[in-house]
Amino acid sequence: MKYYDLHVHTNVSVGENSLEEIVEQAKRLNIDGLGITDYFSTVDEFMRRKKVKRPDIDIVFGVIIRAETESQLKKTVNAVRNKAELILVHGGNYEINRLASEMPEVDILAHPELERRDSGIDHIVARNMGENNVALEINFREILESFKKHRAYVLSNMRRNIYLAKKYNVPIVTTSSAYSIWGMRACRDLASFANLLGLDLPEAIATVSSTPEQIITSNRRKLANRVDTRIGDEL
Amino acid sequence: MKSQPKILPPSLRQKKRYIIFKVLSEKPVEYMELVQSIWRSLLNFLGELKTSELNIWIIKNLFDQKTQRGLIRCSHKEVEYIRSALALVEEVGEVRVLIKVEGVTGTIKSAKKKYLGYKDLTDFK
Repeated sequence: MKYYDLHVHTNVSVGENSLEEIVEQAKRLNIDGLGITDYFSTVDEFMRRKKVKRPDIDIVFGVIIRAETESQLKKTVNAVRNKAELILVHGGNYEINRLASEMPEVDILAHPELERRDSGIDHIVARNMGENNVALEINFREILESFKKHRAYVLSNMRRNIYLAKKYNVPIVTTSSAYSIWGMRACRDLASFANLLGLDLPEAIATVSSTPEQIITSNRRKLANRVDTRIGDEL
Repeated sequence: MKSQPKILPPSLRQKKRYIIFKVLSEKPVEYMELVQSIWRSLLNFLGELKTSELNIWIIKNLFDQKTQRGLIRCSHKEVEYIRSALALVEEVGEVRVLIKVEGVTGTIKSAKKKYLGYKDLTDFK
């Protein structure tokens, strides 16, 4: 079984470590595939990114989009879709969450409950995510960096989101969202959090293995063919 | 578009119970201090993970300073956990207290009617 962690930052944007250091750490943690997601201000910047090929580890070059307005999100997603192997949307704002759930081009909606008192997802967003195959992210850094009462709220919101995701068949991925190599964890350990938050163990393990693998293979196939297909389409 | 999620349909909502408690103490306690003590007790006794399952909410505007009665909303399956955590509260601020659970109801309306002494139920604020 292959293990994937689809949300890791490097020092190109907010992270602390270089890509090489992260890859070394991933090898120590037995991670087979790594999604390198960074914030970029322009598309050219993403294209200029140093793309390292490693035979021993599968590196997926993606972007995470932090948009303030709806039009900005649409524009950015359309600009990078034919170039990036993975598109994440920085969630938290309900309007952005909802719009991202309506876009089949988006792969993962990252931390929809970030800095919110509620879970950031209602039945409409969950249904859209199910229909458009936008995956829900369980973000380990949010759990790691919160404590006491706040951590209880974060876990509670995540549990809510997982409950809705299960109802509407939304794919779920668990990621470390690490800013440095010390924020990374072995994928099987991340799956245990998904298990505690309401998924069965096989489902929880799928959130770090088969679900991310499917997302990546389908994206790569589409990028290779260069056909303008929708991500939500059946493989 | 609203910046808040929509209210879920009834079948998807979490099932709730309301716990009515009364604070017995040497002198009246403040709401904010009480909330802090309850949260401390929950987190120390049950831990962060179990507390996250309780879906707990201490309702501010239903805490009566005079009678020292209040209401806690929680998940319908976890009432006993909260009862036990409330039983472990010893101090609020520097006042020695004990918290007595008076009853558990399924709605705020019936809690008001049975335990909080509301006669006129037209005021649902």
